[in-house]
Amino acid sequence: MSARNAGGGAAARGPGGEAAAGWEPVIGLEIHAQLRTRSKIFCGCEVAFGGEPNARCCPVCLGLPGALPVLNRHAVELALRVGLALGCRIAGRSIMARKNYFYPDLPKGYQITQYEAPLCEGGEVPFLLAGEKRRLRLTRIHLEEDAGKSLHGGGATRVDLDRAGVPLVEIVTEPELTSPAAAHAFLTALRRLLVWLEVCDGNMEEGSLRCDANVSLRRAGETTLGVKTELKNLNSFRGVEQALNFEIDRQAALLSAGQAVAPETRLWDAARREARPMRGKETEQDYRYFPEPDLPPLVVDAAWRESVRDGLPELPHERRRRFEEEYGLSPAEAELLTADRELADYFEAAAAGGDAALAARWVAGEILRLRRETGGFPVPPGTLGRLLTRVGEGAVSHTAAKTILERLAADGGEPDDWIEMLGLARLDDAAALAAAVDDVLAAHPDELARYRAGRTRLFRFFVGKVMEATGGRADPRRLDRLLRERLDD
Amino acid sequence: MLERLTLGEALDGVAAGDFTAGEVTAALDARIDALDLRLNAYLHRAPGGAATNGAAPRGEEAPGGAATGGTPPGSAAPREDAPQDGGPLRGLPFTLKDNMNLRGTPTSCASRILEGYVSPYDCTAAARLLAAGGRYLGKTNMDEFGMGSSNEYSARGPVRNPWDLSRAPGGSSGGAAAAVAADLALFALGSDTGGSIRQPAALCGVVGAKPTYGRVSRHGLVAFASSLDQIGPIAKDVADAARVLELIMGRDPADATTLDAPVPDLRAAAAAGARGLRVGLPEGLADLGLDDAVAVVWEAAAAALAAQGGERVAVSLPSLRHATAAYYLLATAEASSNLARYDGARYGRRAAGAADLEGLYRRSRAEGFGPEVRRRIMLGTFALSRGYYEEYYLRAQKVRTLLARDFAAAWERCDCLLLPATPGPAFRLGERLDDPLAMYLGDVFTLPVNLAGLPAASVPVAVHEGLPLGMQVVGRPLDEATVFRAAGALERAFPFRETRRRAVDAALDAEGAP
Amino acid sequence: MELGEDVVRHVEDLARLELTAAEREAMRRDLQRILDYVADLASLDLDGVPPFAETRPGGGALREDVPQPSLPPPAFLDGAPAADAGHFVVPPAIEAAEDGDA
Repeated sequence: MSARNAGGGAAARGPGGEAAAGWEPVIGLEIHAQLRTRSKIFCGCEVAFGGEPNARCCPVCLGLPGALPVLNRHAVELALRVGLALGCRIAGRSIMARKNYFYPDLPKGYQITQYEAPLCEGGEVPFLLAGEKRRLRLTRIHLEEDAGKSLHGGGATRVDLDRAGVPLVEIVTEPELTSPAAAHAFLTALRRLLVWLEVCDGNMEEGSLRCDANVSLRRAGETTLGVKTELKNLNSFRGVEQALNFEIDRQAALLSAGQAVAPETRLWDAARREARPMRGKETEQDYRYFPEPDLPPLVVDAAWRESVRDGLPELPHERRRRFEEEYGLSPAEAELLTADRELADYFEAAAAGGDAALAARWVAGEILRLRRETGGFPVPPGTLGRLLTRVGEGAVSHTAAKTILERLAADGGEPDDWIEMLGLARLDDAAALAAAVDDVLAAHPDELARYRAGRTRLFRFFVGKVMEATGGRADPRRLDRLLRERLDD
Repeated sequence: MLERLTLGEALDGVAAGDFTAGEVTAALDARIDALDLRLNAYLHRAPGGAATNGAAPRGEEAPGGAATGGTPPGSAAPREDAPQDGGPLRGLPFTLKDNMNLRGTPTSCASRILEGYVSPYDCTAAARLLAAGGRYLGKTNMDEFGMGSSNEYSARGPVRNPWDLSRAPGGSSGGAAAAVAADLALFALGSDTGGSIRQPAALCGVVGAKPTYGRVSRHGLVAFASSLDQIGPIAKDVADAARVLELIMGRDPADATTLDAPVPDLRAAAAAGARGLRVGLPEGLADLGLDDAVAVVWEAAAAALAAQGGERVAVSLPSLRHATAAYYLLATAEASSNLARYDGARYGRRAAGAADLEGLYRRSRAEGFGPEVRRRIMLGTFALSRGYYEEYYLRAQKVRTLLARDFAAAWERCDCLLLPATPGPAFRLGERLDDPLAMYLGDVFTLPVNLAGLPAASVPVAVHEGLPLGMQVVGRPLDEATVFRAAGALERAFPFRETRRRAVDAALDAEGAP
Repeated sequence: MELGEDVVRHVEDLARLELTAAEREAMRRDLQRILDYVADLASLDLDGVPPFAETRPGGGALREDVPQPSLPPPAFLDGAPAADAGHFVVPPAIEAAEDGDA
């Protein structure tokens, strides 16, 4: 039932690919998001991207003999923000656990994570797929520490532990996505939310957001799950979609030929566009989980939980809905304008007390363009609002307003000042407009004759010429009326 | 004879100007030089030997042998934060078990796998002693990573019991106990996971105390079993142990398992007497291997406390007989995880010639760990592994709860428990090496206390066939004060200092001069 | 339970220990003795008894999110078994070439 909520159809391929013999994909995702704390989860070393190797390490994150972890309160707070925003049940008491395995970037020989008693359970993420509202249920969200980085090459492995101990939340979804496109759409919405909540900077290239995927196939209508494979090394949302497509095709081919899918982990190779099985005993790991004795159970009482809940901003999907209801925006417009909090805040400030539809068009158009060019919002929203008021009054034409916006972006100032300085006030003077029309008609007798002979399309020609002559200041409606009067004389 | 003083006497003497802390240190150094070859209690000595004015340097090696800039750790300059007036310890020296980090000192845990490892930071307990004006004297020998009860599982050779050099001093804090017993240290810090302070203290005729779990920070103590380990003093008398424990107790932000509880006045407690104390005597210890001689001494100790106004109460701890099994599953499980970091990759000893990562791990660990450590890692790994976790580790966790409940029930009827620290006196070196289980069973009276996280102390009370026997007092959580009340009362009933001095001198003389 | 050599080998793998055949047999015997000893735990009725870890009081200190100075790399790299250009160095894992930056 809920599988259909989160899916995109019964075909084995997302839109754009051929259906593969009636197989329905079942996809679950595991997302790791680095939390935007200043220090690591169990020690005071700074969290930062890049820089010198092993420059932000201490006995705790190095796993030196005798070092002990102490949990970062702010990491818990950020995890609570995510859990509460997604409607999870927050555990009043959750347990940190050790996941034991050997790897060069895991200095203690175990990762401190949560296993049987995570911080959050349940919850769901609303997202849009091809304009339709969906929800993907979550299994759980928990806190854990990141590992360092191993760099392989030159016959050796080099280890940098700067990243070891960076706080992560692991978000596990129910296996209820039914297409790679849905996975992409879900990830887009999740990333937006994490950035919106200021919990994570959502940067997959830098590794602050990572995703692994599990995928299996079954016949449409079946309820049991097929054998799943795990996909790792997915470094972008496109990579997630491509890898899922690859794997679905691969599994469909196997199953259609009567062969079984092996449960395994495959690494995505973005360059070669294929997912190859990991060698070694990775998939048979026995992590020997047990409760972390160095950390007491994490207690989140009602007071803490509710204070985090009270501090939550209006969530993206709530704001989107409000933009549709309060401002009458279309779903597409509302979705666009809630892509991130800064943009949504900008729109509301610009629309305040004015024509929301007009503001929406301008923010979605000109302002976003300026943002792409400059990386920010060079024109304050209030200033835009005042410009749009003039446009709404008819005091200045759209074309003129665009010119003014460019000047505001480049040089600041106020719309009224620019209107005056550039002489862009709408040509209100009926006499001057009539004079301009007469001049144009007089200057183009051939076209006038052709028009009166039936070439009514030349109307636009005259409109264009009058606009040119008036520097774009003519009010289109008046011009239209006046020109018809003159031409139909 | 400065080396014979207790800490209390040394403090009084320094305060009175009779001698300096430096002179005390010099006397100890000289005695260590003369005798430690035979005992092997020390693994590292503060370099420079005796310095005047108590300015004994704290350590010598910079990590990797390279200078790290600033004042080299091995200089004779006193530590920056040493109090001007000498602080509560007045410049007197302390020793640390070699599983405690002290910046600039080698910390090997008596293991090959940490050969050459130099601490880049201080354990909190040592830092507190330094801040109290103490000076580092040296690191003491131990069973490797704390795993053992005889100090025979040291990669640096066994420690000998100063009462009889053919016998073990106990473990794992064997070096610390032997040093204090032989007056090669004023006092020592040891660690106790299943009895590793109390048992060697008892077998060497000195006082050992373990606080409530969480009372002393484990930050900087190399972990053996995280939910069981605690640091505590080994000292020449109860007052010394009280003084030292007070200095190191208290919440530490660097250790999330430490408790926020006020430090009690343990010296006053030690002097307060046993009047009105309800002393619980657990039943059924004979079934746990209790030596007849020890049983007699136990009775005498109980009678002594009663004579001083205490009240004897029989108590039952039904889960006690399962405690050893539970302990050896839980402690080894935690240890198997705590020791995973020793893999030859980032510090310590790396096996030569490993062609790949797996080879590096396996050979470094097999070469670096001794047989008892390997045994416990295997047992602990097994107990946690898929298919066995429920039957072994989880059941042991539940038995631990039962034991804790048994103790909690006992506290309704008594204020402290009195029981032997060990089932018998010090055994011969080599006697239990072929039988790990026999070694484990010697901890039967101490390890339940760690499982329940309770405070306890062992006090020497008798000599049997030339070997000391110690009694153990166990208290309610956070009630170190009552433990010290009973311990002090026992010490007054059974003065032991002269007995120890004479016995140890005789043993060392009997061996002849080197 | 009867502890077979296969189980001992498996535990060796998990623990990254390398024992010789003789060591393995000695280990098997030692572990068997210990497991026989702890076997009487199996007879206890532990229904409804919570594991000790669950009975721990929760709470405890959390750390404020204030950065603290880190260790200067020489303090731990100089003493490392192998280091190069600020990195720890270890021999490659067999599947390292396939993993990328896992």
